[in-house]
Amino acid sequence: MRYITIFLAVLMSIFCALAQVRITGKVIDGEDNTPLTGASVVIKGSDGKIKKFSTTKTEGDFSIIIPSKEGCTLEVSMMGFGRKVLGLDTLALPATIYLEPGATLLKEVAVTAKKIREQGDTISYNVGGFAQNQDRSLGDVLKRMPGINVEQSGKIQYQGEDINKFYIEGSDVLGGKYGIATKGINHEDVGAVEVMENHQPMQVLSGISFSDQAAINVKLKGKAKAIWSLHGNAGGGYSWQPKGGIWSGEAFAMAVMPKFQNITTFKTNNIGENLMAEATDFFASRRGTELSRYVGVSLPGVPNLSEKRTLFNRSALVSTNGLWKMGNGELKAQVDYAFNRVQAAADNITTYFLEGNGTQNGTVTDRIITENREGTERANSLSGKVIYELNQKTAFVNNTLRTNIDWDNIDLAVSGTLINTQNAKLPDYYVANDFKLIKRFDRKPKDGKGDTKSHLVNFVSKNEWESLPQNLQVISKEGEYTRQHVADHAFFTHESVSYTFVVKGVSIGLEGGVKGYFRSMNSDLAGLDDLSGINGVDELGLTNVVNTNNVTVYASPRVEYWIKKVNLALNAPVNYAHYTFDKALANRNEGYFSPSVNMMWRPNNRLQLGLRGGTGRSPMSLHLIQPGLMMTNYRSFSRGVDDFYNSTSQNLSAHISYKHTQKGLFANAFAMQGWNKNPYTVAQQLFGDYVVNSYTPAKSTGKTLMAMGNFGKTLDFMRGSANINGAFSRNESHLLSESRNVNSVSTAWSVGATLSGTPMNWLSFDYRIKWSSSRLAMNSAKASWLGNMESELLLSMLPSDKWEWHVSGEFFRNELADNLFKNVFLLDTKLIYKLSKRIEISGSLTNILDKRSYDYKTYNTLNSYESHRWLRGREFLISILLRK
Amino acid sequence: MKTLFSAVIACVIGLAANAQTADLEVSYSSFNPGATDGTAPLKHQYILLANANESKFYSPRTEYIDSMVSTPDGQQKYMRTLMNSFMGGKLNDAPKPDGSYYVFKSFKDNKLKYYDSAWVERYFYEETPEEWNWEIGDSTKVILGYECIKATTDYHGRKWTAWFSPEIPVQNGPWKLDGLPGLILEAQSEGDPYTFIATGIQQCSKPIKPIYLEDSYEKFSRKAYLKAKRSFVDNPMGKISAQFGVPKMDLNSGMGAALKSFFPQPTKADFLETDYH
Repeated sequence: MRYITIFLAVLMSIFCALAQVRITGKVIDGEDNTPLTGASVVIKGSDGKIKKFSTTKTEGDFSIIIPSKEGCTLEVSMMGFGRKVLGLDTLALPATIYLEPGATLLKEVAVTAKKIREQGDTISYNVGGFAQNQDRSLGDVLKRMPGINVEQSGKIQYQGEDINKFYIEGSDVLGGKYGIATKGINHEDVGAVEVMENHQPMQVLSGISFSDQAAINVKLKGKAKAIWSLHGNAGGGYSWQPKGGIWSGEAFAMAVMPKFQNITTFKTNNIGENLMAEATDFFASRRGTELSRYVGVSLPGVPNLSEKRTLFNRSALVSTNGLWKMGNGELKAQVDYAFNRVQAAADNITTYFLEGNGTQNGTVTDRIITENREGTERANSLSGKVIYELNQKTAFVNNTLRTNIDWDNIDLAVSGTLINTQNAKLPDYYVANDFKLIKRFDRKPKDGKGDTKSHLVNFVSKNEWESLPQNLQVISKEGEYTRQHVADHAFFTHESVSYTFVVKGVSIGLEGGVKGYFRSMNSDLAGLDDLSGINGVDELGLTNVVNTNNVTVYASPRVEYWIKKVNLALNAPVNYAHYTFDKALANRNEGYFSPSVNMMWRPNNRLQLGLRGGTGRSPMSLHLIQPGLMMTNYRSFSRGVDDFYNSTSQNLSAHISYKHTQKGLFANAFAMQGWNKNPYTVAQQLFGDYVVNSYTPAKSTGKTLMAMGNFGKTLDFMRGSANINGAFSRNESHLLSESRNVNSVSTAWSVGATLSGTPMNWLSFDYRIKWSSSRLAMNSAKASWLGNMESELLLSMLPSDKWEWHVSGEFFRNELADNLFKNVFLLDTKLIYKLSKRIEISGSLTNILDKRSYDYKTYNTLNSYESHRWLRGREFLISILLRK
Repeated sequence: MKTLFSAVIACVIGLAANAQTADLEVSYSSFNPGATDGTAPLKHQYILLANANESKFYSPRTEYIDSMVSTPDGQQKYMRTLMNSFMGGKLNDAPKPDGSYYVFKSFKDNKLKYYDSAWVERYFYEETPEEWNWEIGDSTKVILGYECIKATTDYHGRKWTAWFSPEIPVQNGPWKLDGLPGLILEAQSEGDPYTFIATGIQQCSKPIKPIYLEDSYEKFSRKAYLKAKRSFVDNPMGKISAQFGVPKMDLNSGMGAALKSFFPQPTKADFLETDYH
């Protein structure tokens, strides 16, 4: 039975196979007799339905098996060729089918995203022509305009595509919320509606834009309308230290008018946020005037703790930013004013390490000074900026004129070993103009083939002027005045041209230019009578008249190329400088060459290795030319060098980074070693309780080693991550202290870890911990390692859409002396209630445990420092946030 | 050294000469299932450039940004633009990539290259396409003026319904879909509504350029890529914290909320292919 079944099955399959027909053939280009690959071959039944199909292979071959070819047709077609339909009943197999070149007639529908061109056409509709009596809003009228569709929500489509911009008088006020305008604006206020096709809102993309979307611009009738958007928050509360009321508030306003936009902010608080920092221009490059203050009076701060814990302040910020559109260009103006008043107090003990007189063990005899400081700093900063920018296809022009006026008054009273009051007036006046021009040259290849090559030439001109007067007045306990006055002015000008081109895969960049620097500084120290008796002080002049000018011509070539997976870049700047010192010092002509090499290796996209090395000679900071004595603060004096020197330095660094995306593993490490040689040496001398920091013409060398690393891993199971990081640094330098050679080595390391996650939808956490330790060794005397530990845990809970609750704790453990620790624990909480999208109410309680002091000990180059500082006490703040 | 340069140049020229010319350009609207907050589906614009041997399916806006950041100058320009729109509080103005993936097919070599990215993560895989098992139905409908026939198949975890036009003799379609006797003008998946609809079609003679910055894509197997992307979409901030050692940002408030639009939108729905679980 079984055999019969098998036999029948085999028989059946043979019959079936016999019944099947294999249709084979070849498709050939009828014009040049070459086989056609990828032609579509379809077999249709007598009913016209597709039975089987295939495509031709490399040699134009096809093979299709069908049950029966009776009444079937074979269709062969391909883009660019005429379609062939053949009856299978009569076709000889294998078939050879010739396709004749010809247009495949497509019913084309424009591929809208394809258009790569600049701004499309603008169509303008007169609103009056489309408006009807029952219309109320602009949206009602828009619906009737050709191609425009307004949805119930107020969303607009043009030719079936959502519009990408809704402008009112050419300015985008509402962004995506333009529904407010379509529904809110009375059509009678509108003169015309413009539809800008293929609108590319991003200036930077214009020229190569492929936007297929349109924008709508609403032109208002006559009266230009200013539309303001506002938001703000205001909070008030009570603080336990300093005792009294606290506030924090913010208001934000934005106006967009035809060709004009404005954003204005006002902020104020006394809860430990320094708003001066918010007025800082993060994009500002380093000032070329290179002035820095000789006078250094500052209020005591608290390291390791955030400002909000330690800053006893009153701060305010007003910032207004305007933009005017002018043809192709834009004019921007910004004015910022920031104020911060800080009150600070600290008690500290400073210990100066002085090496014993050549004893073998290197015993240390220390000098101890106690100091109780209490002071107020009033810092003001006013800055203004005017920018004109022209953004065209072939040229980019930017001119920025900026000015910055700061004035900083510090009053600091000191009691303890040296009783006195200090008053410092430290204004800063700065004006600068930067001009930048980028010109693009497109060169088409002569034979008309290949890509057009673009060359860019940059021209930059910078002019800066700065005046940094400094006045410091110290009143001793006997009521005697000591005054330091410094006038320091500098003008810096820099003109440069740079050009980059590529030759055979090697990118060559050339930059050249001229720099001019003109600076005059004079200073006068008066009322130092009580010090003149002190050993050596008379020899040091008390005035300075210094002119440091130079003109530098430079060229800075850069060569870069790739060999397989290695990138090599070589920089070789050459400078020639002429220095004049207004006869105080002999004129100098100096040449500087400081080449550097950078190598990067990327064996695969997980690993990257880099090496960098540089060497060179550079001029000293002209700030150091200061033969006469200056008072830095009530017990420090400084004296610079009386000649011009050059220093040399070398550096070598390496970095490695690894990532394994799939496993969520990331690691990187960096190490750097630097060497420097100076023909002068830093020296420190003590006259009684006074310190004189100076430079003596003796060779000094320094060595720096820095290393850091980071390792991270994602923790997908709880939507979180973990990180471990570490850092190490070692600084070795030689200096003179009390006429003795001191070789000082400071070493520091730190290790940290973070862990964060969202284990539940309503709960997330962040945990951070860090240990750090440092030590200072001088000659053979080594101080002990002193460590710090800090950790922080933040928990966020969102029990519902309306409520948010945050709790955070910070823990600090500081080693004041060997095995003597000080622990601080700070606890905060905040509760937020979202009343509506526009109103939020929050209450916060910071420093719940009301810790009011913080003590620590640190090491500087030549001293140790033990301090007692104050913290902001418990604070309760309730705030309301409003949005419009 | 000189020979090396010559070799490199020869290679470059060779590659350029090899770049194929497409004779057909089709634009598709791609709809992804809606975000978790129940908003409308996400819409992206894709373009299919095809000839009989090769094709490329890509998002033109994404490609434009990729081409921009492939040069140091362009990258600087791009960062400045982002920064400007960020500082100006107009994040919607920032040139953000549109659709995230590229599909390159070579019918001659029977190879498919797939590139995708999520924020700074870049994935790449190559596969030999499996034989399609389309079932051609009887229903027809008209798309862009072409009469299309319905066909269905199962593919990598989803059931697809496609509408193809035998009038257009190009056996290709959106995304990885192809293998029907005519161009696929519409396709939809069962379950999560992934949809491709052709919005334009025209003949052209455009080069099929390779992807920019190919080296920046990390090679995966197909399923490993899907798993890796899943892990990023579910835990983007964790990945960023692990890589850059920055504290985890809350994507629902403050700075995090502003940056949210740059991350892949979390969806309840699974990816186009679901056979990686």
